[in-house]
Amino acid sequence: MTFIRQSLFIISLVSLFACAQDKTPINNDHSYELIVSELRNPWAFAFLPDHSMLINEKEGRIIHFKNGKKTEISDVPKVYNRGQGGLLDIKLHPNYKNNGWIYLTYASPEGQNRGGHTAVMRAKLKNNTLVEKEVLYKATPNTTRGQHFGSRIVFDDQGYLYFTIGERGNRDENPQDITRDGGKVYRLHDDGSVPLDNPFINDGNAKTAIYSYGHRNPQGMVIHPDTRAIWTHEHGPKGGDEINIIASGKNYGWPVITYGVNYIGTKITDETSRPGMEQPLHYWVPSIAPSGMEFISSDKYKGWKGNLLVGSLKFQYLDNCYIKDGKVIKEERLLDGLGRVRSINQGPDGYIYVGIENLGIVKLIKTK
Amino acid sequence: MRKISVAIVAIVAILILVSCNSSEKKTNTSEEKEKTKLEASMARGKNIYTNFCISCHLPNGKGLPKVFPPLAKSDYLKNNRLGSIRSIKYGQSGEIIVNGQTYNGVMAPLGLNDEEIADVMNYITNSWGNYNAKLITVKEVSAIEE
Repeated sequence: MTFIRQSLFIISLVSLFACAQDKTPINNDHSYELIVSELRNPWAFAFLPDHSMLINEKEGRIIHFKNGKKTEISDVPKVYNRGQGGLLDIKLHPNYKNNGWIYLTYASPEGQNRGGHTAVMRAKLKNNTLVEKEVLYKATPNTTRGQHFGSRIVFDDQGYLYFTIGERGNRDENPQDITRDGGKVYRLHDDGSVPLDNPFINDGNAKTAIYSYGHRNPQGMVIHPDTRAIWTHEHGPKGGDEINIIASGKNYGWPVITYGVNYIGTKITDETSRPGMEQPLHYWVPSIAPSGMEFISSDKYKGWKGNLLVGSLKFQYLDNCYIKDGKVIKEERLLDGLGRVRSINQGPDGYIYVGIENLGIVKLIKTK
Repeated sequence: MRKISVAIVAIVAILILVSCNSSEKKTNTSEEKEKTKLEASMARGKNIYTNFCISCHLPNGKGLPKVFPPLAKSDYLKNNRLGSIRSIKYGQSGEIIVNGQTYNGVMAPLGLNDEEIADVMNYITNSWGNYNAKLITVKEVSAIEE
């Protein structure tokens, strides 16, 4: 009987959340232009100095898109294309024009254990081939789980390389343990060496590349155009997707504190805050399943300058977040229903480009 | 809402009954062996489901109306055994009709091996009110081509 009562309770909880709707209003003052067609999962893309694009397809292909023509890049690292794993982010070195370094994150099967874990590589592009490939970081141990590889890359103004790795579906072991990979934001020098002022550099068995911890699965990271702070977002479980500002050595709480619950509606914890753990700048209930992140810093979108754009995989829109005094004060749906929004970049022309699964890359145009 | 709860309580009750029955050890017939095989496969399949499928098709197998098709009481799953295996193995795109509703989404191939596909198929075809009398084997999955 108790079991039935419990089931009933769980079931009512589930129904409650199943009814939870995303109430973000639709904005109609915009349109789009399809720039790159016929992509399956444009997980990330980067603009080269000649304004052509390098596009990562999750399944493990890099496409060079120039003057309307696609060229396949060869010698791309072997990826562990399973579940959420595959070829992930791509970023150019801030000094790319002089040094030619391209940075990639991907789910890698490299290593002794079966399965895969996230790796960071740098390489150069020569005759449509990746050359001088160097693996800068490979998280361990491999696992056959399909979830939470992260990953996004940014460089800050000092030239530090930051990247994210999700907790690989092992929330009880990974995110709160700094001796283990996963559920972390990492910081390295651009050559892969560990900065001596990293927060856990003198910490026993810690993975010294760790910069912050207590994360679940960050698939968005960007530098704020004015404050130059590092902003991330991450997938919560059911509810509790978050935006965070990342600082050295901080604990962002997963799974000790969260605004989400398990997929089946059961509780993870009663706690949404605890001393010594960071509160998110913003959180979403229900989850939008965020991927891709970009600030509008150009003058191409009147009234939207300074807004933060976040892709919603789940509800298939581009979330236009108005920010004031460090808070998200208003959200709107852009490109509503166009598809699962995976990646976002402001192009060299100041326009916003959005990678959408099973569609391609579109350019966002404001019509009013 | 009350109707659903009642239905689910009934299902839960039936499940309890069924699980009580299975714990009574009878003679070791081949039918029982098949059943044990199925239970083991379903247990592994549940794990795969939690890892790879749950975020879209949800814990109750109901999916998201018009976006992610339901697996629970899905006529498509029931009537397209090979097609369903093929979708998990190689991915699914193009229009399909599930319980009268048209879906035109894309499911990328998940990177599961044949045993994992058999296990997750055994799980989803025997959960949430679904029933499949014939165990899905690795051999059956291996034989299916794109």
